[in-house]
Formats: sequence, structure tokens, C-alpha cells
Amino acid sequence: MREHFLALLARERGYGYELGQALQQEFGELLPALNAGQIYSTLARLERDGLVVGHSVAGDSRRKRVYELTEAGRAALARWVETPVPGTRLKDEFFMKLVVVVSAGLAEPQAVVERQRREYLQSLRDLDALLAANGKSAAAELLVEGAVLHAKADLEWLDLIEQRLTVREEPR
Amino acid sequence: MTATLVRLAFAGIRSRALASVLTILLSSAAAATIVLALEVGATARDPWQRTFTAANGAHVLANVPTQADARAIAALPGVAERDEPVPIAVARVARRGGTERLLLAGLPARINVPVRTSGSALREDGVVLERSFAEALGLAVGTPLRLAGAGGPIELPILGTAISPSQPRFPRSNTGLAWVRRATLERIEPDHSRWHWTQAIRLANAAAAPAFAARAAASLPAGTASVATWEDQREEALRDAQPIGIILTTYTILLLVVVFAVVAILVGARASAQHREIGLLKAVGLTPRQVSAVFALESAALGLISVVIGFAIGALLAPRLAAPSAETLLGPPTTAASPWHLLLAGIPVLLVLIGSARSSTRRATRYSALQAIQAGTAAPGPRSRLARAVARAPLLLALALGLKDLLARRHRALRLAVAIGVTGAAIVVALSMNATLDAQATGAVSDVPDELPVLVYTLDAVLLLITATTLVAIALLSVRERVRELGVLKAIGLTPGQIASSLVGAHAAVALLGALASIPLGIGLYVTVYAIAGGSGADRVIAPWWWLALVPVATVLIVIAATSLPARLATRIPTADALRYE
Amino acid sequence: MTPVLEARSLAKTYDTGGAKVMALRGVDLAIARGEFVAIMGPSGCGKSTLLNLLAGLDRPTAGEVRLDGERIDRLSETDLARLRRRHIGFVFQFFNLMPTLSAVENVELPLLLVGRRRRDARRSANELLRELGIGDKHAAAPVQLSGGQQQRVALARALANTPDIVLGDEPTGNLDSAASREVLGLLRGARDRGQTVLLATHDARVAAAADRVITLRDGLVSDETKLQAARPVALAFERFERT
Repeated sequence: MREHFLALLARERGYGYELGQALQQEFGELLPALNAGQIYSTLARLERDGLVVGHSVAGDSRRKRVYELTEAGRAALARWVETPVPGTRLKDEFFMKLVVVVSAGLAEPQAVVERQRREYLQSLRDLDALLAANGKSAAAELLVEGAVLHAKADLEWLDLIEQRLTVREEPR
Repeated sequence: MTATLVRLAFAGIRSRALASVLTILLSSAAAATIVLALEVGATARDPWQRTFTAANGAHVLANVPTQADARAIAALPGVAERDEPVPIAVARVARRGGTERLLLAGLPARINVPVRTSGSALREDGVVLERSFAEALGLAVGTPLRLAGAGGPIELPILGTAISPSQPRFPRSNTGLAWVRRATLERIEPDHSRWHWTQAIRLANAAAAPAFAARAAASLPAGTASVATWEDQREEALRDAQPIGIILTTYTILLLVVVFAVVAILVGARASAQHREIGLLKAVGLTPRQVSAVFALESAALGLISVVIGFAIGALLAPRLAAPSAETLLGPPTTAASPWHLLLAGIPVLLVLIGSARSSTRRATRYSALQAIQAGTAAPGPRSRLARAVARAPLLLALALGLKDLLARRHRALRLAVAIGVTGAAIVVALSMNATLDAQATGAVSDVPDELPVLVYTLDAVLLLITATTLVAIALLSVRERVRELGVLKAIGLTPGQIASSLVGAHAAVALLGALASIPLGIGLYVTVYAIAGGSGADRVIAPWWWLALVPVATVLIVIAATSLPARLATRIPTADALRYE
Repeated sequence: MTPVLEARSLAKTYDTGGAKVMALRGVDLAIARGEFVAIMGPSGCGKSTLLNLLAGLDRPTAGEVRLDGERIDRLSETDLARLRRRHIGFVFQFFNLMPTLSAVENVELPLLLVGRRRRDARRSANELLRELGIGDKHAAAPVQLSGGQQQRVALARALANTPDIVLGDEPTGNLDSAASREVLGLLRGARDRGQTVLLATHDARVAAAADRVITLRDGLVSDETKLQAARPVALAFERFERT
């Protein structure tokens, strides 16, 4: 979340609660509402790292501080913008489960795969139903489509796993 | 670039063997008839020359009313050898159904002597008949000839037959000829004033004959004499084959029309099927004109092969065809084949083939390369009004489907109808010729040479065979184009029987239209040919309506037979495979 | 309840010029009336073959196909054709409309085949096209329509005789995602009306529209999954770094 805050402060300084509101506006339902504690603890950490600086405004409440980016903050932000999100994701919950379960002899790999396949297929159905429902933002729709494609890719991976399993079993 | 085009053209020929064979068959037939038409007259040239030499033929032959006229001509300057004037009298031969006029020439003669072909030489009390006259009347050597002379009936034994270079074949030359000794002639026609005379002249220089003949004709009162040079005589003899020549020319035209129509269908179908390949060629860089040129080159190559084959056939058949008309001549007809005929046969055939190929690929090559590659096979043309009309008519479903598909390629349907119409017209001509011959009084000698009907029937059979083969080929082609569609129709629920009947029915319907059109076409054709051949309108008989009605019926039956095999094949393709067909 | 469509030890071997290919090696399948079933698998797994055998478009090398309990794999071509008219509607990946007929003429074809009167058939066909949202295109030729429109015409044709079974071979294979969703929706509509729908597809998303997904691999059934009604999805970012 840190860099997102930095980005929101890029154009103008802002109060903590304003940042929260801005995030809510961008992502709407996709983002569970952040409580004040989360917002201000993040801001505090950013300040400690020297990426933002907060000024007290002549006001009553202790919390009403205005925050703005520092030079270091701008630099960090620029780096973040230019660096792509890592593409290689060699970590998958299901895969780790499969390996462990099979090597421990807890279940046949085929059965595990089949159960997972059903879950992915069901997810596809759920996601499609979601898409069919109205009243979403364009961002939400894109997000769901992305999830659908990921689910399809996962299903293909399942097919591949199943194929390799059968190949390994055949020479018996 | 030309080498590439030529290579593509030959690849095309190899890949569509059946269509290529069919094209060669058709074009060879057309080329053969052209060659026959050109040569059939000329094959009599040598035999006539032999006859002329054997007869000591007359360079100039004059037919005059009095002996004095004859001697006057003989006295003209330039004569190398002159004969005594030969008297001619007219007699009547009694035969069943009436009498036949006969010219009797009183021998002896030294020039234009009859060449004996059978029997013995002329004696005092016999007659030698001209060979074709004897054959036409069925008079045999050894039997008596009954003449009605001025002084009453006379019987003369027929001693033999002979031919003369100046006498064309009976009955085309209306009056027959026979030879008797002078004394016999006196007996038959004692009144000398009723004789007329022929004067035979030989010149030192044969080429001077026309000039001499002109002088001879001028020296006598106009209209009383007829003077013929040796060239005139030869022309008359060669002209005997004229009716055959007319028939052959007519059939050449018919065959060329069919060739045009059929080749257009075959090439058009090829172009459609290879729509994608054409697109690829264009993507590689061939212009539409070059693509069209590939097809034209293919057709031209096939045409060259056909012309050579046709020429060989024509050259071989010409003497045999002309044999009957050479009855009046000595010796068998010789081949008159000349390279000039090869050229004359080749030009129309090649023009028709190339023109046909280009006309049918014009549309196919106009699609852009990309459209062609993406589309695969060319879609049929926009739905014609006729197709829409068919859609509204309450026809059987299967028939309606088949017709809609056939009419979607309306050019093909039209060309098919034309080919069938032309073939039907040829049959109508044969039927009418048959009717005309039947209508002639029995016993009367026919003006039409015997071999003519045989020729017409043979040519009709060839044309019919070719058209039927074409039908089968085109139906097979249709099936191949529609494999995928037929699969879908089966998937929807058309039974094999319905699919077969859609194919057969559609072709039969188009054929029926062509056949119905062929009747007026055939009648018109017969009337025209008859007129050109010089027949009188009174004798001409058109085939009766019940014969003519057979033409459409027979056409439909033949088409059903010809298309039933491809239709059976269409139902045999497993549906699953058909749906995958590209 | 007799399954509406059944396969018992279904096998199909192709002989392609020397090499024998076993497309199906013994498939057992039972589809109940009103089910929406998807047959999923990579290309070459035999799903098209299976579909063709079930529709009677091809004959099995071994095994049985039963439609409403009656064997259909031994019927003559003519009988199969008559059967298909009334009971089976087929939708293809490449639409396979008759190019020489207009949209409405394509749709009325099955109606005419079962003997409906011309005018009656035309009316029903137009109505069907309207229901599928392309009523205004009834006179268009297939080549003038977009992929999605063509497939809707094809679907109308398949549904014309309200067949008991609707079969689809990659019905959305040539469509964009919007058109795909529409077609799948229409197929679900058919299922809701009581018709049985069976699709062959390699696209998991299409398969997920079905109630039951059968996975084929190398000519055999390798997996079978029953799906439930769509569960609610929490539309929120997961795995968010809370820092």
C-alpha cells in the first residue's frame, strides 16, 4: 500500500483521511475500507523512512496532519512506476499442496487434481455469473475477466500435470 | 515469368486429369470435323485425274443442238485433237413407280471415252450404263434394260458399267447416262432432229481451256450451247461431296459451341475450387491477368494436343467418308491432308478454348488476394432472380434445394443448358432428315446420297456420347464442390434419397429446359441446312410432333442416368468426413 | 428414468491410409433429460468424434449409442436422417449455413423437412430469429452476417423443431467473447425449456456453463465433475499486502 499512498500524494499534499477517501473512490467495492489506524500507521512508516513529511496544521485534532512527498519520496515513486510488477510467479498454493500430499501418501495425485479441477470450473462459473450481473465499474469487470483467464490457465496447468502423471505411471 | 506460367499451366493439367481428358475429347472431335469438312471434297482430286487420263478426257466439252455447231467449234483455232461429234438422245427407262429419263450417247468416241468398270465392252446390240446410275436404279449387268423409245418399247441387254470424268454421280446430276452404238441410237430415236451433240476437244495447252471455252460459247447463239472446261468437270465431280461438307461444317459449329460451354464450366469450376491457390498466387505477385493467362495457357496446351489428334482422325477418315461420292471415279480416294488444314482446324479450336477459359476466370480472378485466401472456396454468385423465383415456387423440398444450388452458379446452369440444347438440336435435325427421307415416294430415286444419313447419325452419336460424358463429369464436379454442404444437409436430416434426388432433379430440370429449347433450334437448323444444300422446300419434312416430343423425354432420362452415379457417390460420403471437408 | 442419450463402450477407430487411429477407446456416458453437459478435452482427444457418434453422423467401430433407450447405431442412413430431423439439433463451430439460402430459409429448412407448410414454417422461422435477436436480418445471406449473427442463425436452425437434444461442436470457437456469452446464454435458455444440451469444447469457460463436465483424454473419459449453481464471489483484492 505504501507506494499507492506515495502516488496519491504525487500531485498535491493531502490529509490522511483524504487519502483513504481517494483510494475508496478509485477501487470502490474492490477494496475493503481501510480504517484510520491502518492509514496513519502506513503514513507514519513512510515518514520514518523519509519518503513523506508531515506538517501539522494549525488545528485542534492531533491527527490532522498534512502530508507531502520528499525528494527521496519522489525518487522512490519514480522507481516504482518504472519497475514492472514481477512476472514470474513460481509460487502456487495448489502445487505445494499437491506435492506434499502425494509424497506423504495422503491421497492419489489424480484425486487431488480432480478436486482442484472442479474448484476451478466452479470458479469459472461463479465469475461468469458475476460478469452477467450488472452495476459494476469497468475496473471491476476487467478484474473479473483477469481472474477468469487465470482460472483457465490453471485448468490447462492441471491438464498438463495430469498428463505428466499418466506418462510417469504408464511404464509400469 | 512465362516459364513459371507455363509450369503452373502444366501442373494444372496434371491435377485435373478427368477434366483435361474430357476437354481433349471434345476439342479433338471439333478439330476432326473441321479437317473432314476441309478435306472430304479434295480427296477426290487424284481419282478424278486418273479417270480423266484413262478416258482421254476432253479439255473442253461442248453440248450443242446441231452437228454443224459441233463441227464449228471443232474448227476453232487451238484445237490439238478433235473427236467426231457424239450424238445424244433422250429415252425413258421403265421402272416401278414411273419412268426415269436417260441420256444415250452414241459411240464410238475417241476423246472423253467411257472407262469400263465392269462387264464387257459395248457390242452392237447392248448398252453400257454409267455406274452410279446402274447402282441407283439397281440395274445389274446381264439383265435387260427396258427403254421406251420413239418407236415403242425396246429391250437392250446391259453389257457393263462405265464411268466418265464428265459425268457426276447420279442422281445429283439429274439425268442418267448410258452408252450405245450409233446404230442402236438410231433405232431408239430415229428422228435426228431430236438429237443433240457433244463435241470433245483436246488442246495443246490445258491451261488455255477457259479461253477456248469462252470463244466457243461466244461463237454460238446465246443459250443454245453449254461449254465446260476440264476444270469445270473436275469441280462438278468434287462438288459431289458438297452435302457432306455442309453437314460437317454445321456439326463443327455445333461442336465448337458445346466445347465453349463445357470448357467454360470445367475451367470455371477449377478456378472456384482453387480460389485459395489463386489468392496465394496473387499474394506472391501474379497479376489477375497473369493468373487468367495460366488458365488460358492450360486450355491452349490441351487445344494443341486436341488439334493434332483431331487432324490425324480427320485425315484418316476423309478418304473413307468421300468413298461413296467417288463412285464415279477411278480408284480409291486419296488423303488430301495438308499442313494448311492443320492450321485452319487449329485456329477456331484454340480461339474457342482460350476464349472460354478467359471468360470463365474473369470473375474468379477479380477477388483480392486476401479475400481469396480467407474464403477458401469461392462462394457462389449473388442469388439470381431465377433462384429467388424458385424459392417461392412450391416445389419438392429436395428439388428446390438442388435447383437453388445449381442456379446459384447461373453461368454454369446456362452453359449446361446450351450444351444440352445444341445436342438436342442435332438430334432433331437427324429426326427431321429421317422424316424427309421416309416421306419420299418409294421407288423414286433419292436426291440425298446414302452416306449422308449415316454421317448425320454417326455425328449425332458422337455428340450425344460427349454430352452425356460431360454431364457425368459436371455432376461429379458439383458433388465435389458441395461435399461440406451435403454433410450439413444430412446432419439437419435430409435422407440419402433426398440428397440424390436433389442432385439428379436439378440437373434434369435444367436439361429439360435445354431440351425444350433444342426443338425450335433444331428445326431452324434443319431448315437452314436444307436450304443451303439446295433442297426444295416442298420436299422438306420436319419430324412429326411425337418424335420431337421424345427429345425432351429422352434427354431427361439420359440426364437422370448420367447423374445417378455421382448422386449415389454423394450419399456415400460419411457425414462426419463431409463436415470436416475443406 | 431412461437417459435421453447413452453411450456404452463406444469405440471408434479411423483407418487413414495405413495408420490406424483410435479416436475413442471405450466411452461410457449417460445423459439425463434436461441436463447441460460439456465434454472437455484438448484437441485430438476424441470429443468431436464422440459428438458425431452420438448424433448418428458416424458409425462406431464398437459399442452402442442409444437415444431414449433405443439403439441408433445400427439404423440406416435414411432412418437416422429422419431421427435427426425431429430429435437432434446440431450447431457447428464454423456455422455451416447454406450459402445459397437466406437466414430465414436456412432456419425453415428443418421445419420443411418434417412436413410443416411453407407459410407456417416461414412464420415460425421468423419468430425464432426474432427471439434470438436477429429478426431484422431474416433476408440476409450468410456471407453478409457477422460471426455471432451467423451462429445465432445456426442456433435457430438447430432449435427450429424444438429437438430433444441440442448438440454443439465448439459452438463458440469462432466467436468473440461477447458473442460467445450470448450463444451460451441461448443454450442455457434451451436447457431451461427442458431440452438437453451437450457441448464439445476445449474452452474451459464454455464448459463451466454446463452442469456437468466430462473430461476426455486420448479417447477415454478421464474425469467427470458436477458443478453447482454459481457461488457469490467477494469482489475484493486478495492477498493484499498489509503494510
